[in-house]
Amino acid sequence: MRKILRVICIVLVLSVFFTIPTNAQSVLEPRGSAFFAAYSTDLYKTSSTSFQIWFDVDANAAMMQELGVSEIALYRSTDQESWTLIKTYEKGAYSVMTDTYVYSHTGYVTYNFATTGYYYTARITFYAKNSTGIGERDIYTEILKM
Amino acid sequence: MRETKTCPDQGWEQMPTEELDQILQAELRKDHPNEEVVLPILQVLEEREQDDQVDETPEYLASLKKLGEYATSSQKAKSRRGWITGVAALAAVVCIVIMAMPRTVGADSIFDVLFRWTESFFEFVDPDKDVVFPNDDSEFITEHPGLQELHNKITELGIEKSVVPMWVPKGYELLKLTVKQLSGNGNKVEAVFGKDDGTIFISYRMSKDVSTKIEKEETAIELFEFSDVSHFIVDNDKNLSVMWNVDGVECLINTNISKEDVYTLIKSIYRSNLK
Repeated sequence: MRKILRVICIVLVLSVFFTIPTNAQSVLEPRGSAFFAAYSTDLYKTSSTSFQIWFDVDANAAMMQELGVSEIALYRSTDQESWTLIKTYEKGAYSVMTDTYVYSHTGYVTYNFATTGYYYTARITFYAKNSTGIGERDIYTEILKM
Repeated sequence: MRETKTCPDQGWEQMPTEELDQILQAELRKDHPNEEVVLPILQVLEEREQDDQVDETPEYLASLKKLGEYATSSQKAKSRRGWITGVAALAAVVCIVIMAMPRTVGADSIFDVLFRWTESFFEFVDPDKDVVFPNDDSEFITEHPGLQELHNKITELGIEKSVVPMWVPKGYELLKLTVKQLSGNGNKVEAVFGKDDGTIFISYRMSKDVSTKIEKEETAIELFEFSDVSHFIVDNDKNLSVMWNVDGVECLINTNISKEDVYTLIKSIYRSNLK
């Protein structure tokens, strides 16, 4: 019986303990976005020297004046620890990266100068613009080995 | 027959051993021997045995054996009582955890938690039997060309499971229906229903090895189980997102309609026969 009482006391203490950070959590800044609902990325190998950088984004239940990706930074590595920026795609130069007055946008850009044995990843900056302002999200893709 | 003495103050030590044996055996023949009689007698007999080396007659040994059995059954009864005490203690612990849980998940009370998890539609029922759809505020697939068009598109792509809602709030029309190509020969079907400022965005992603990231507020994720499918509802700014997965198809509803309508929308997916 004493052991059971001990367990009850421990549970009580733990309950109080777990209650404390909850109050702190309730005042945290929200991570939600008025611009984005969902997004996904993919590096898709198409040959021994080329791959596609895919992006797909859904707006948050509203039509956006402009929606898509503002920048793609492509990195290369031999050991997956040290990464080198090898190319940057800007939405101004690649019209496929954004669309106007849409609820969602999907597209890809192609990289044709990949080297066998190297690892690649990309930082994709999702972008949305409406009458209230501009929203952006940085997402890293999975790593692709060529 | 001799009346069994029940009080230890009756002077067991003054009685002859033979008489004590008779009383003991008479007591042990009962279904529930009286411990207050048996134990003092045994104690006296044991003391006399040590002093006089009482003969271990067969009757005496049989009595001891029966006493042993009684003691064992008595121990089992105590064990059962211990088990019941354990269950009661466990129940107490569960109650304490439940009382502490609301704070842990950021709610004010247990009722807030239950309400959040159940809402008015949370139930484990056959959707075709007990789901009640609003009569005056609904557009069913049978009379809604947009829903029918989305349903046909999904069927064309070979998705056989129920993923398309068969109901939208009254007045919502299909604004856009598109099929997009994704990496690796994947597909994405998107439908946008709208009415004034209201928007219902529905998408179905069929793509290998690519998972979608969903934006959400720092609030609890609501699990809405219906028709053996887990639907996850999250708050995102002022809107709601619902995501679920059926046979590798990632389904997403993103909308600014009310939560009650979202529940109805989800339930309508699994309604096979419409009125």
